[in-house]
Formats: sequence, C-alpha cells, structure tokens
Amino acid sequence: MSLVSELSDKRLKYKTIHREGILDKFCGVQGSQRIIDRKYFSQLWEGYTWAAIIGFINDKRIPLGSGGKGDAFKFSVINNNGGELADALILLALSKSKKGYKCLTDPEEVINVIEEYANGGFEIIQSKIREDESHFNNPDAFIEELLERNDEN
Amino acid sequence: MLIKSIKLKNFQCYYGDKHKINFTEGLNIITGSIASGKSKLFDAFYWVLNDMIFVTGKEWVSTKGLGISLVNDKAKYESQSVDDLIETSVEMVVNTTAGRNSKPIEYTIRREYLISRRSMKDCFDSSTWTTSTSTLTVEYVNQKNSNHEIAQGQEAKEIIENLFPSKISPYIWFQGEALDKLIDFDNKGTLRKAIDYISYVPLYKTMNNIITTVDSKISKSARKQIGKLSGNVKLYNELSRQIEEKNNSIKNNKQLLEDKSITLGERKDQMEEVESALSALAEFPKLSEEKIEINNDLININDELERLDIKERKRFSSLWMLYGTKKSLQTAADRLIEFEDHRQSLISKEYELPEDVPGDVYINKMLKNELCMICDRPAEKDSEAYHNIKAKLNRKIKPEYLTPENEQINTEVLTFKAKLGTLSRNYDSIKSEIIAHKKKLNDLYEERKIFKDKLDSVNDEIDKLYTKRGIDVSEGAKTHRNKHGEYVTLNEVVRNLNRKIETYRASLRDAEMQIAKLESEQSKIQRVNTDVNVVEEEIAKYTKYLANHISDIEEKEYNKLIGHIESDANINFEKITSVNRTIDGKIKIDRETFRVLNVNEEGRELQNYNTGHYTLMKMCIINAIISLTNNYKDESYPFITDAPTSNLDDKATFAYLESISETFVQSIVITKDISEDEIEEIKQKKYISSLFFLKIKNDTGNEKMNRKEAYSTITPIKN
Repeated sequence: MSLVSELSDKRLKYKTIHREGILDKFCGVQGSQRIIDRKYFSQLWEGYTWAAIIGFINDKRIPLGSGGKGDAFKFSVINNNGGELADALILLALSKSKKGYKCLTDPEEVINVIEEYANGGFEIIQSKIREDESHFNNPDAFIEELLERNDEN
Repeated sequence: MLIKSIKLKNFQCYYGDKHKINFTEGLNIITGSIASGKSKLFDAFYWVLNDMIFVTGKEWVSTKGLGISLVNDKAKYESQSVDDLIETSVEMVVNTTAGRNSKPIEYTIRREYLISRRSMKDCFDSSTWTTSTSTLTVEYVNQKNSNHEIAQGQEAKEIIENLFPSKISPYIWFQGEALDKLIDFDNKGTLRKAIDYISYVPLYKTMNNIITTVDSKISKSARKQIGKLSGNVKLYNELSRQIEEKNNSIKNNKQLLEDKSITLGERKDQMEEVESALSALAEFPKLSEEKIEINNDLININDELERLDIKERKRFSSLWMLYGTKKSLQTAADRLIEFEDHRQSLISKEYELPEDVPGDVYINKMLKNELCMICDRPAEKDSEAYHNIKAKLNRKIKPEYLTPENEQINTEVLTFKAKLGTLSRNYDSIKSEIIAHKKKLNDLYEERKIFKDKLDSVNDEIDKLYTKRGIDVSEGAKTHRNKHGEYVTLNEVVRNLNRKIETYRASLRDAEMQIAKLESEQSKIQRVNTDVNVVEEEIAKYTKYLANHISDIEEKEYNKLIGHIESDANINFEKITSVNRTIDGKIKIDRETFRVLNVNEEGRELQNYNTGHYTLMKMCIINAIISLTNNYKDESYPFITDAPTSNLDDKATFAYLESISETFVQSIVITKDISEDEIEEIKQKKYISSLFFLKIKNDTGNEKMNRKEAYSTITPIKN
C-alpha cells in the first residue's frame, strides 16, 4: 500500500486550545470579513495546513505532549480537498524527519512530524494574536503574512 | 480694537477653568482635528457677547434653549451630591485703541451660567438640574473719574453694542457653515445696511429729508408773501392752494411709493426663496439619479472584490500558503536523491556476485536426469550425490536493492519526485500571482474609496437641499405643489405691487407737471409793486438747488462705496486665486439686484465657478467691507471666523489666510484645514503671529466619545 493510502486513515491531532484560539477563529463558513461577513478559511484543514506550513518555515517543532490533545481529523481530508498541499506536507515532513527517506515507509513518523510542526506553527500564530488581538482581523493580513516570509528559507 | 484673551470654564467640551488663550495682533490661528473643540471655541466668543450660539440645523439657539448642554459633561459627571453648583463661564478681554480724544480702555466681558443639582438621577438628564438665566458683566476703568466700574444688564449690553455694533458684527463674526444664513448677499438690504453703517450715506439721506422739508416750507411762505403783492390776489391764492394740494399729494404718494417698494423688496425676497426651493426640488431627481449610478458602480466594484476574494481564498488554500517553503522542498528533493544514490550503489554491488551458478533450472534438470552434469557422474535418487545436488537449489540471494522495504521506498521516491516536479513548477508562479492579485485589490479599494467619497458628497448635496433651503425632498411632490402655489400667489402680489408703484410714479410725474403748470400761471400774474423783494423767494431758489444736489450726492456716494468694496475685494480675490488659477474673472456687484457675480473683462458673467469660488468671492467682499469700515470709522475691528475655508483647496486656503493677515490688524481664524503633521511648517510662516492647537484629552479612540472623561485642551504652538 502506498504511503498516501496508508496516511489516509491516520488522524492528525492538535491541542484543544488551538482549536478554540485559532482554528475556530479563522475557519468556518459562518464567520467574518472583506465584503460578506465570513472567516478566511472555510474548513478546519485549511487553517491546520496553514499553521503546519508556518511551523515548517520557521523550523518550530513542538511535541504535543500528553495533555489537552483533544481533537483530530483524518489526513485524507487534506488529500481529498487540498490536493498538492497534502503532497507538500509529506515532502516537508520528509525534509525534517530524522529518519530521512525511510520515513516514506513510516506513516506514523510522517504524521508525527506534521503534528509537531503544526503545533509549532500554532504557537507562532498564537503569539502574534497575543501581541495584537486584531492581527488577523483584516483579510489582507493573510496575504501580508505570506509576503513577509523569506522565500529563500 | 483688539481681543486680548478668552478664558473658558466648563463651557461645552472645555472641562475645568484652565483654558485661556492670549491673542496677539495679526493673524491668530486655532487648529485641531475634527471634534477637537474648534466650533465650541467659536461658540464661546459668540455666547459671551450674544447669549446664543449657532447650531447647525437649528440656527441660533439661546442659553435657555441650550440648557445643561452648555455645561461640560465631565463636570456634570463629577458632581457628587444634591445642591452641587456648576459654573460655566466665558471671559473675554478687549482693548479699544486710542482715539483722538480718548485713551485705550480695557473691558473684561464675562458671561456666567449656573446650574445646581436637583437629584442624583442621570447626570446627563436635564431634569436632574435646576437651570437659571445667564448673567453678563462688563468691567472697565472709567476714563473720567478713574473709577473701577462694573456694568450689568442693559448697561453691559449697550457697552457691547458700542464695541461690536450689531450692524457690522455679522461681518466680524463669521461662521463658515453659516455664511449663507448670516450674510445673504442675494438680499438687496444686506449690502445696503453695511454701506449705511460704514459710510456717510445715511447722513446725506437725513440732510436730504431736512432740506426737502425746508424747501417745501420756504416755497410755501414765499408764495404767501408774493401773493400779497399780486395783482390778482384771489387767483394767485387759488393757484397756491392747488400747488399746495399737489405738493401734499406728492408727499403722500412718495411715502406710499417707499412703503410699496419696501413691500415689493420683501415679496421679491420671498419669491427668490421659493424659486430657490423649486430649483432645489428640480435638482433632487438629478442628484437622486447620480446617487443610484454611484451605488450601482459601488455594487459592481464590490462584486469584483467578492470575485477576487473567492479566488484569493481558493488559491491560498490550494497553493499560495506554500510560499516560503522553497528551501524545505529542496531538502526533501535532496533526500529523494539521497535514496536514489543509495539504491544505485546497491545495484552496482550486485555485479560482483556471480556465485549462483548453476542456477535452479539447471539443477532441476540434473535431478531429473539423476546425473551431475558438471562432473558427468551419476547421481541416483536418494543417493548422497543426489542430495548434494538438491542442496544447491534455491541458493540465489535476492539483491539488497530488491528488498521489499527498498522496493517500497523506491516506489514512493519515484511518486514524490514526480509530485515535487509539478509542485516546483507551480511554486514559481506564486509570488507573481500574489503581487498581481494585491495590485488588483488595491486598485479596487482605491476606486471604491473614490466612489464612496462621491456618494458622500451627493448625500451632502441632498442634505443641503433640506437643511439650507428648507426642502423636505422626501415629500417631493407635495412640497412642490405647495411651493408652486406659494410662487403663483407671490407672483400675483408682486405684479400688483409693481402696477401700484407704476401708478404712484405716474401720479407723481403728473403732480409735478401740474405744479410746474400752476407755477407758470402764477408767474404770469403781474405784481402790484415790483420793487419789493421777497426774501423767502430768494431762499427757495437755493433750497430747491440743495435738495436736488444732496439727493445726487447720496446716490453718487453710494455707488462710489460699492465701487470701493468691489475693487478692494478684487485685490484680495486676485491675490488668492493667483496661487492656483482655478478661476478667472473678477468680482462684480450687480447694482440692480446686488448679486455677487464673477465676470470677465467685458463684464459678462462667467458660469464655471463652484461653491468654493462663490464662498471665496463672498469672503473677499466681507474683508473689503470690514477693511473699509476701519478706514471710514477710524476704528479697527478684529475679524473672527470659524471654518472659513472648508470649500477651498490648500493653496487657496493659505493665500486667503495671508490676505486676511494683511487686511486686519487682528484676526482669529479657527480652522481644521491644517493637519497635525503640517503644524511645524505652518509655524514658520511669517504672516501667522500666533498658533494654537486643540486636542481631546482622554480620547479612547472609540467612535463614541466618552462623555465622562474626554475634554478639549488648548496648546499654544506659537504665541
């Protein structure tokens, strides 16, 4: 069975505090902004993937630990909706995994790496919100965040 | 006269008693952003003198009408118990300039308003407070006896009338928004009143009245004396009686003519108002259509923004969010290559291992034939040789690169290499896509702002139709019917008045002709004694001459003054407009209608001026009137104005301020046209003598100001 198929049933876990502090804030069709009052991401996996990429870019890996590991969703959700983003997450996990290319046959390792970097990304986003509660209130802030990234990293 | 200072205590947004401004000669500027207390400061000047302030939408409102809204909110909020007394006051100190026979006098004008707490209910509710009327005092040192005097009530009001004559004060106290209400140049009486005040015209008018009366009496007396010397006394006296009768009729008709002319003027003013209202109603559909068009444009822009928004979110969640992962993806690629290299090394190793000869196929053949084909000896079934050969079966070791794990990794590596290739190609376009998207967004935001501003200005125009011309556009048809009815009636009244005036004029001409005829008949009657000189007859010749000439002088003086106002106004107008060249032409006051016009060299009216230009023309006339008043009356009045230039651009604003500084000994201009970051630059301008900046203290930045905490402060920047 291919890695992608094996990953499909695996669940990506994240801390409950990040569900409340970030994902619920930015994801969901019922939300706020630009013209119509709506949130920037329509689904949770988008916010999760965004956080994971921020973690990877900033090389911030934080194990989830045992407490508060409440929520999870299947990797297949990203694969079915995000297309290339699911592949990119696996490749990013490959770039960081201590197991090197061997992680390509180790779905648990891939999931673990993605989870820990997503957790790191959540922490970065949370600290930005702590500094300025309205940081991501304007939809333009998401594009600004992209342009602030160093493309050479 | 100079305003030395103004001091405010708990007046509207000014909390406490620490707000004092010391003014200097020259141009004093008070600036600050929106809602920083500028108009309230202007109100303070007006309130201390007149016990009322101008409220947009309500016009002039007295202290009684203002009630506790005059008193600072924070002061009200801080009151702790019943019977607490709060004092609101404004104190203005003015200095008169020394005249030929008088020394300068300093007057301290103070108005005070007290409220006391009735209950501990909501402090912002008027029923919580007992109010009173305001009290006015004027303190000064009497020049005759050097006594310190305090005038109150009527006496104080008279001093103020003397200091700031009500006929000229509308020109001195000038509120930008209220310009049209304060000084209506379309009304013939407006300029006439100002001219009457600043010139000798009323003097000539009085002289004319006196001389006409004297002339009539002297002529009557002359006729009486001549009659006595007449050869036909009876006929002469009869003619004199008829002349007297005609003179009385002329006098009556002149009075009627004057009365009807005044009424005609009033009715014409009313008609102009109705006409203006009707034209406002005609303007409404145009503005309404414009509003619909702008709203449609805004809808289109918002639709486009919505499309871009959807596209952005889609791209963000399918590709853009990967921006910045270039290096990590490169590491992933390196690891894929690392595996390929490893596999390659395993394959190479395979070439060094030829030990699996002979292979299983050959061995099976040997077992089947029970013969060792290598040494060509028999190997019978179940013999030792047979078992030895059989043991060689399945000897082949699978190469390491073909282990299931390596095979699986290899499959994944090949898959992800292909995926990485596609990803990299797409990745390269992310930045340009984001930048192009952002540009489109910004262009649309910019466009939306322009249309929103346009919409605001159309809404303002519509609002103006209501507030300035008193038209309720929402009841368009009904209002139109009413106004049209009023117009028809007024039109009829005006036509009747004109007819009557014509009749009186005709009667006057007729009576004058008849008098001439009667006088000629009288002169034909021979006198009995031609040697006797009648003194009254001689005097009457001069009084008649004087009566005619003084009337001419009055007219000439009047025209001369309008000419002066026009040319003074044009000097300023040219100076101000030369900085931005947005308008050509000159100011002209139409002698018939007294309308202020913008004309070309040939005197033909130009049509391309806007509200800003028209306001500027009016302001130049105001400057000219005050400046001429100073010349004629040998008295200088300070010029104080709030938001005079809100319709002008920056260049014209500063040119206007410079021209004010040249025209007036002292001027106080309250304006929002100078922003906080321009202050340092403005401070350096030589023509500005003093500069003050108003700011809100404890402003939370919320849309709604905290009434309990926020208040205005005054900071001197240059003084």
